[in-house]
Amino acid sequence: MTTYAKLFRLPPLRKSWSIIKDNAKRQAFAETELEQLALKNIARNTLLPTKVRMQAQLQLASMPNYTKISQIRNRCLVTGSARAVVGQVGLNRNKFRDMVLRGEIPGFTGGNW
Amino acid sequence: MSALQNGFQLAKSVKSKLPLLNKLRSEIFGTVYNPYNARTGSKYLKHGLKGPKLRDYYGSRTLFSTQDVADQYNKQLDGTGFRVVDGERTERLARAEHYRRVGKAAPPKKTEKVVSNKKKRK
Repeated sequence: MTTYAKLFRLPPLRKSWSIIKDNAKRQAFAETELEQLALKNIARNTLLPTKVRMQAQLQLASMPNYTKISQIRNRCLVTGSARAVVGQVGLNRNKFRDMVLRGEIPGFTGGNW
Repeated sequence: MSALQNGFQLAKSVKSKLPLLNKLRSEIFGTVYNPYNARTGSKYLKHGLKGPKLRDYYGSRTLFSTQDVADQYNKQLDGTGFRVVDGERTERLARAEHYRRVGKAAPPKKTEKVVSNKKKRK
């Protein structure tokens, strides 16, 4: 694991604390992903002795929560809100609607019926 | 013996040889021979890594300041009389120097660790 300072580094965009936190979790997960997969593989392998499997499972469980993928949430790139984020674009629905109606996102237009 | 009984006999002999056939097949095609479908945990390694994609959701992590760029150019401009200057930085340093002279600068950092009574969350 690297230091917190490295994890919290962000590209120059609007920085809200929620985005910074989520970004740190992403970096932590990306760095420990291989380790997690290896431990999972050992823990779930029924051909290995029970002691080894238990040790792997304990090691996996002792990893901090911020390294787990379930903690990561796609947030709006502009406002940082975690709800109603349009997946393809990464924007909150209100922000997405504004930009679409202004014609700033290629491939999207307002509905007409 | 009837034709039906003959058929059963044939099926029995084939069934006893099926594991051998599967073993041979796995050897030829380079797959794992796992006759009892034991859980080997290989499904966790089968899919690719998700980390590299998730890492760059908020853009790539490379962050550089104007000072970094200036430093890189200054290496090349060593012999000549020219230098690239980060205006904002020099201004900021000058301001800090001024504050220090006046006596309004920030206090020095604490070297001892502050022990907090709060419970640490992971």
